[in-house]
Amino acid sequence: MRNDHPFDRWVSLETRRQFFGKTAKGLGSAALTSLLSRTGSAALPTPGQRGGALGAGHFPARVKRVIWLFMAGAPSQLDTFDYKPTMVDRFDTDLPESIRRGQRLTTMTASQARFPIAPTMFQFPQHGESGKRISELLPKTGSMADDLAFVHTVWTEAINHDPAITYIQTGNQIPGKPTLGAWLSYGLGSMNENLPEFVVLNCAPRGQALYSRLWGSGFLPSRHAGVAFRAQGDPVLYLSNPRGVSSDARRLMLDRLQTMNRRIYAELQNPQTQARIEQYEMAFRMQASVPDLVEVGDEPQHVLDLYGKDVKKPGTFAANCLLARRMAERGVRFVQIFHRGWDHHGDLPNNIRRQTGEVDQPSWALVQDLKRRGLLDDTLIIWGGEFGRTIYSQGVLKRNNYGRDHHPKCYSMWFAGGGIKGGVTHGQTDEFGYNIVQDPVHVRDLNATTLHLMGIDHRRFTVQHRGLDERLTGVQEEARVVREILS
Amino acid sequence: MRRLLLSTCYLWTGMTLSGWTAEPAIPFNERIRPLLSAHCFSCHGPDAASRKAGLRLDTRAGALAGQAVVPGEPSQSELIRRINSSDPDVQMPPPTSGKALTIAQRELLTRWIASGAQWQDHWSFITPVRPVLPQPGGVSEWARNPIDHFILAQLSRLGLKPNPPAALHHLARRAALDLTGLPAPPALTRKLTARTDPAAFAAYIDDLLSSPHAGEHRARYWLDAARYGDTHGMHVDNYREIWPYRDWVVDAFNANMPFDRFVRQQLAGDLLPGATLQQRIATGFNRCNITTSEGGAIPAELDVRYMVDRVETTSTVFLGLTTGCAVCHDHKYDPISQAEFYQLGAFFNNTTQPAMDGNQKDTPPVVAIPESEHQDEWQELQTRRKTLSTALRHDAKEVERWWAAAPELPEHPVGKDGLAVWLPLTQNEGAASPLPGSAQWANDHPAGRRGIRFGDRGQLTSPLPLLKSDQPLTVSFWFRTPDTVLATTLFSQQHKEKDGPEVGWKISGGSQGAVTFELTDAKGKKIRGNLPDNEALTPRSWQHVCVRYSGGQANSSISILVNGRAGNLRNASEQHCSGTDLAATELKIGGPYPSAGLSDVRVFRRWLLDEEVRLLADEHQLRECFARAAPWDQLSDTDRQRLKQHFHHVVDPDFRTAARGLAQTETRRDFIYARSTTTLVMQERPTVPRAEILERGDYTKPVAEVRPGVPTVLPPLPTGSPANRLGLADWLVHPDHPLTARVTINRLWQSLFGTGLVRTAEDFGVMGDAPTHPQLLDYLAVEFVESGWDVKHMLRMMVNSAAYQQSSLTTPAKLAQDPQNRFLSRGPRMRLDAEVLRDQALAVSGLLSLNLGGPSVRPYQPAGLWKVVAITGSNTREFKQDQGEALYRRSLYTFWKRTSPPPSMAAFNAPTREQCTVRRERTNTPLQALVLMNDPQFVEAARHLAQRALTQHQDATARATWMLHEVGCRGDQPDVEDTLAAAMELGALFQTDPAAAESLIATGSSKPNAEINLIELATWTMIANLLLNRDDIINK
Repeated sequence: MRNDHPFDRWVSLETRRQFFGKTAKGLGSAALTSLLSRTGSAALPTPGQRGGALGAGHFPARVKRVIWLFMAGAPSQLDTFDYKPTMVDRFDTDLPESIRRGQRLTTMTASQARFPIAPTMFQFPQHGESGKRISELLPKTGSMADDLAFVHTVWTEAINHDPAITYIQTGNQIPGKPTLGAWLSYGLGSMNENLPEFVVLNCAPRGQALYSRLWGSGFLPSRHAGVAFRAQGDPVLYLSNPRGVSSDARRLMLDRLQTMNRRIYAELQNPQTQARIEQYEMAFRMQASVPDLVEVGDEPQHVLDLYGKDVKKPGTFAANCLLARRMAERGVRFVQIFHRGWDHHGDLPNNIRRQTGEVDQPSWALVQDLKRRGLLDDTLIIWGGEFGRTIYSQGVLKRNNYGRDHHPKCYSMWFAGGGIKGGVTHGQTDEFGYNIVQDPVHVRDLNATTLHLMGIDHRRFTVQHRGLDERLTGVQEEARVVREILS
Repeated sequence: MRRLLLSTCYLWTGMTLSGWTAEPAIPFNERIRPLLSAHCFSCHGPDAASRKAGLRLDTRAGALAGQAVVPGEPSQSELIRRINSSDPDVQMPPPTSGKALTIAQRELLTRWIASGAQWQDHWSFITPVRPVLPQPGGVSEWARNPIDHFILAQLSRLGLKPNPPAALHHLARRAALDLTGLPAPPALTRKLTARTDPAAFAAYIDDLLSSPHAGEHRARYWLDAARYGDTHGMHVDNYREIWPYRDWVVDAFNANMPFDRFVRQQLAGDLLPGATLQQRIATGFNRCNITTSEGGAIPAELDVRYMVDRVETTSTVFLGLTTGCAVCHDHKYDPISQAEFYQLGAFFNNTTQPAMDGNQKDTPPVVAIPESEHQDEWQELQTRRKTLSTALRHDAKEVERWWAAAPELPEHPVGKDGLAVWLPLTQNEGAASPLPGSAQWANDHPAGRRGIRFGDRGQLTSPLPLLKSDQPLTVSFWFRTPDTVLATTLFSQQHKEKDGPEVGWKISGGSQGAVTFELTDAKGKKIRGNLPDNEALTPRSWQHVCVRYSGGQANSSISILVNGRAGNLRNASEQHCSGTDLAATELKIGGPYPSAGLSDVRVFRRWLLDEEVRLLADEHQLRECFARAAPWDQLSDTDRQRLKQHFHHVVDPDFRTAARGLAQTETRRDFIYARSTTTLVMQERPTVPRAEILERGDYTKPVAEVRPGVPTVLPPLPTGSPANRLGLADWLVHPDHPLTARVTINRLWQSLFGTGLVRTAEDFGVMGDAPTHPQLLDYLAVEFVESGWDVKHMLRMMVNSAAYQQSSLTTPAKLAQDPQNRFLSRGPRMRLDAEVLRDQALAVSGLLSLNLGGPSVRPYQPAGLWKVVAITGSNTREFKQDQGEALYRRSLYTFWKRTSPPPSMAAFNAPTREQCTVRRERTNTPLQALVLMNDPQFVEAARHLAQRALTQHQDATARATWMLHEVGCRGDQPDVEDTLAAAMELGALFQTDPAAAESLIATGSSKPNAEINLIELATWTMIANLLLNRDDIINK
């Protein structure tokens, strides 16, 4: 026989464990009542922690959880982190062919007669002991520069949003593969009883599109898919009882339902029936634990102040950063916040002011808040988007106004938290911020690094699917852990 | 479980190869190939590029070469030496690969070589033959048809006994849900229970199979495989119209179309001789792939993506092979080379479809299905168009004679017919008029000193007769985009009454090259055609632009041509306007837009043909040609072409009459088209199909050209079949094809029994699972082909088997030996699919609409789900819920937005339909419990069920019993008692809070029955909600 599919192995183990383990110990109505007690919502211990396919991982993990602040639409590295001072003198001169090297452009600017250089209009003051230069647009981020590791040489092959964002999320430009969060959930299992392992928070419904596949589970079991929490209506779809149905009424209904279902189990003895009984109890617990999670009324004012004025507006980046912290505390393994609206083909200065205005303080606040609670040491924070933007201007070029097209050849991201070396900048781009001069970091390398910090060797983390040993970092592609930014 | 499977396979082959002999031969396919493929093939397999040391172990010749395997002589076989070595430099598989062999596996390989190293082709590549029916003990008592012989034989070997038949009521429910996706109609169950003869159940099955809902249910599985959706699936994810294809599939299943025809029509309906409209609609199968029109996307890259998707879908659905691996390199495990992948690709690489879908619902090629009132006229127009086109004959001699007479070019290259405004906007041309405001004569026009450049003041005006919105209009001009302004109105004839809409039309242009035509009728309804930024126009330079409006009162009646070539318009949604008067005002031209340029403005009150637009675009070259007056034989081909067109359209009266007639036909066709349903289809280019092998699948790195072809491991294309999609279809359904019938029958089996005979329904290759009942699979495959590919016959056979009809009782012994019921030691029991769960709730509540077909509908879903993912401007950004009957259609008709599929169905493992899915997962999560308890559509259904119970029965026990029966339970006494107890408890709760009761029964858009006491209604709504959440109702 061929090798077992690890998932099947796990499932059959689970099923067996459920059946032989729990039933053998006599999970009759008495045990069931205590396990599923209605007071048990957030306070439940974690005996039922669901293990992952990898057990404890390949080696000791540096971090337990990841929070990825995803800037969807692709922020300009040239106006944020990758300082290119000599460009000022090259204002409106043509990008030299020796730099562009005839490489492909999007069809949006491929027909432009010229590729005039657009130096950033923003100042890049120095910060901290590292003296890192960061755009004036991001003063709060600048103030924690010594805690951050910057990578200036992230690159990708994809040149348009849909394939690029699918690529960085799943390791493949073509839809259908599992996302990083799904891989983590699959590999490492759950750290809590009441909440999903992988949560997505969306904000700023503007600009480029998102797709539910960006938090999908691909060919992994769908329970590893991210659960998109919502700012409008129920935070988790269908969480609330219908209007007029109190928690007591639901409990009454559930008690009778469970009695009937236990009778069905007694008759047919199908383990799936037992699993369903448990899922209904988990659903009931979620009805308490999720509102408890998203209701931030218990946060002291000084914490709310950290995140800034938008923190009380559901669905803002600030509110979502605070939720991410609360999820980190409650054992959610992977939180991804999608902040949209970074696709600045034109009128970049005004657009990027709005964007950075929304994310600068909350990003900083999240790091500070986690640090104060001692959670930063075992949390990885990632900040960045799907590709970079061109040094040459798309459309009108003025000293104080310009646009930038997509640029997959290099862009910047930052990392903070457990296992990350603060105050370093890895990788160097050329004078134009167009090509990588030193230390390229492919988007696959980023995923390999994240897995590494979670205690997983990306080369050994495979799932057989349709005859291939699939990995987050590609079946055959090379990927390396960016050790240079690790402490 | 794995250990168990292993021993069973062993037992099975013991029987096939040598009967029950004491020492069974070691069967290669079942025991040796899996070892070799898992441990050796990635370096010593079919992929030539990654093959190490030149050794391949996937063929016998390869293994024998170099004495890796010496039959009968393990000690001389290098393979044995290597696998037993502990020297890391020698040991195989290399210690670093993590693929070490166990002692038992090494022993097995040794014994295999010792016994002669027998080889077999991979099982699924061998054409199936009908096996002899096994005759296990007790078969004559138990078996109802041949299927049971195979099932019982396997069970006997495991020492298991089948279960007794399920109770009739349970069985009736199971069969109805499996065959129609709906609970059994009461009339049919009554008929069934009234009969006691042995044929009663078979008759019931026949009744179910002849229901039109059986076709709907079957279609739903197929649409997963076909990746059917109602949006394009990528980026903007706009609406795509292809639901006639969905209805075609339903109809085909209902008509029990033989599966070979079903395949031929979907893969190549357009290539069948005299293809009918229905056959062309069927080709939508290959148009269901996801597409994009993302600004900046590179067409060559997309073309490859679409081709790859089509090959993968075809391979998965018909061949059960994972050819996708061969995009970048030879397949690692299955004998499919990279070249063969692209040969398959060549079949699909010859379509007229553009790479960019234009974000429009009707990305060509499409067929139109006109409204019934237009159908006759549509046909007439087709005929008329053909007649007129043949009348447009070019007579070369006539043109030459005319040219020899040294004609003069008239003022207008297309004549003056319908010309309403002419403004050359060039110094010393046309009627003398002062430059508007601060405009200046331009000096950078490609045709010399022509045109004006606007300044920061001034506008031109011109009289123009009143236009109606059902009349054609053509505006031709040269345009230079402004340097700095983002958008400018170039032409407008608009008027606004106080508090009224701005009626009329306008053309605007942007600095980045966008051009937009907008027309607003007297009622304020607007149509719009938009050529986006950076698409066709080059910013900051002069070009000829022609905006045409056919009078068809729809977005699609607008076309914009740049330098004589049609641009790809993008419109958020399809809009229509009515035929009203527009504005009786003068035409305003240009304005205070510094640096924007215009010249040669002509406004026609007729619709110009493409050739005429090209003449206008080439006007200056044409003028030059006349000025030079070179003899005909010294003219370039392009010039001759221009002169010919000019001659015919302007000078030749017969041609001109036919051309005007054709233009009218086109505008009328356009009118009807805009009011028709369209559906995406396949259409072949006249060229020979071909594809290029791409290095590592990279579209920029073509290596060699290939023609259509099929993998050599499978039979060749049938003789006489063309090397195109039709030939491919013929090949797939050839009776000798080893895969198509097996793969299809396996999916039918999977739909009834939960798991296929081959668990990996998508992979029948070397890495896929081996069948649990290989002989049964072959038996059914042969039966399928010999029955004339009769789908209903096969379903009937499966459902009439004793195996299917068993009770689903599980015992510890069965659970231990057959945990997942792969051997059918009990009846199939699994969670219902998303669609069936919703349809079941609607059906038992009495809400379900049983209408068939039509556009997709938008039933309840939580607010904001589309908006949170969609790009601004997407026409599926705002979810607008339907009302009335549309809320209660079968789930098959629910609108499928692929970047945000229906949430309550996604919770139950419905796929996104972004790619082909032949096997859904079946998970069990708390989010599912939340859907079934709280989703308004389930709550509303519960209330309707309660209303029926309360109006039909007065007594609580009768209500409880009735409701239990109605949802599908037996109505056992303990269940009745629990239901009554729950009603007491919940009733008491609502009694204390009537407002809560009122809120609950207000759920959903239908009004609660006001005659019923609201406390009672709320109570029984909760009871219905409770019963619809029972495990036996969620399961079949």
